[in-house]
Amino acid sequence: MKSKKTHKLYNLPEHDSKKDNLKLLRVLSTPEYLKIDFGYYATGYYKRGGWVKMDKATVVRDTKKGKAYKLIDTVNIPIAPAELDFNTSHDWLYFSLIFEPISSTTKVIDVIESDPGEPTDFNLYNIELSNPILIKK
Amino acid sequence: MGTTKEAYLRYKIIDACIINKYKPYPNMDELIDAIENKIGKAFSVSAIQKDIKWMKEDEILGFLAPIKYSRSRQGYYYADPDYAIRNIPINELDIEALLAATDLLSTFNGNRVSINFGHAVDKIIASSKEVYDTSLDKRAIIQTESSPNQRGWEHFDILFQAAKENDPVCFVHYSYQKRRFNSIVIHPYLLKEFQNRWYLIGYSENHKAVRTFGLDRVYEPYLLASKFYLKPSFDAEKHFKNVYGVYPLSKKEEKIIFRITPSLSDYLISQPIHDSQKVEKYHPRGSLTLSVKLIVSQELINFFQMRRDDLEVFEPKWLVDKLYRK
Repeated sequence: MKSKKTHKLYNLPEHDSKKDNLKLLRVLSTPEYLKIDFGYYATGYYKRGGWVKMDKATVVRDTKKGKAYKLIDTVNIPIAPAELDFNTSHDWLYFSLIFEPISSTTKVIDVIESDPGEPTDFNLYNIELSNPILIKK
Repeated sequence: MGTTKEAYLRYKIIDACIINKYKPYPNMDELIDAIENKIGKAFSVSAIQKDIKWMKEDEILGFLAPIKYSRSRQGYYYADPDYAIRNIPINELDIEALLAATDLLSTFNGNRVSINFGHAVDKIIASSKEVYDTSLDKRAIIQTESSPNQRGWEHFDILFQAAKENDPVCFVHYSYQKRRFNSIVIHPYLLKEFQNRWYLIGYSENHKAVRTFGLDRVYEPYLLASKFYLKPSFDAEKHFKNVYGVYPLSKKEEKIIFRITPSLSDYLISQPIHDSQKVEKYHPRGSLTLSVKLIVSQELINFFQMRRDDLEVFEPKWLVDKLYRK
């Protein structure tokens, strides 16, 4: 079985985030798209865990060059104004954001839902794309 | 007769026509006549052409029949004169056993393992028998505990393949107890079922140790192209030999002594919880004191807790404290 040499997986990449209830899990970079996987924990701030949604203007940004890559799809999380309401503050969600493919020379990215953004926005900075693992076909 | 089984029957008829020494080089009309006579319904030229193409090229079907068309003889033949798809001798008992095994496997929720197995059985039987009746009693006579729509079961195939082919895997994991997501890189060794749940056991790069992960907590596994690591000391049989369940809480085997009521005694005597189970004492009114030598696991604790009204643990002390502390 050959490996998809162009499909690079970055597992638990180092990054800066102020959100305790959002965990960046993986970044998959392919020639067709960039997929970022997250885990989200509902909080006790809202009685029934609150809700999640993703702004369609969310981008991945090359931290050094500033070039932005658009959000093209989401998995398990609706694009605003639609929203996913949790049932309890104990709920959790695994979801993915899919962006335009990034340049192979990009080494550090940001995920920006809103700039400068509110504390509730999904903004993550300085995601280091180093030590890729190759995916098998 | 289902479409797949009928297709296998057509392949077999085509094969029989081509290897017929008394009438070699059958043409398309002759193939169609033979198929229609056997199956009892009409088939188009394109349908039979498609069958021939599948027989020649389909890797899953697996015949890879060297069928050629001779312009000079205006008929089909095998480029390899020794080739035949129906060279597997099986008898009625074999067929019954294969169909029973298919039924048993299909109780696992119709997953791809059982679908592929059923497909293989169809192929074997069709390539050996003229016709086999699959319309017989379809009443279910085996029922397992496997629950439909069990989360994570959809990953069984890829994880099975990874363990078989020695491919590391990366998957997202959600721990119910810790309420935490993680992305795990694992070198998978074993898939194990316990009480109708499936678990993957392997060397976790994250934990630098052999770990167990419930498939229901696994998301999006990717096969990795990196080098596989087999921990030299890992022996699946030894790993679980003295464990009840899949999540041992230590590495130390201990003698656990507990007393059970008469109502539970018949069950545990007929179905011991472990090979090491012994009766330590028969009490006059039917209750029993039993012992097992096990590594205490979370599942063993759950087992004891669920039977609090009928079971009391006396040793080891730490386990007694854990089970009964207020």
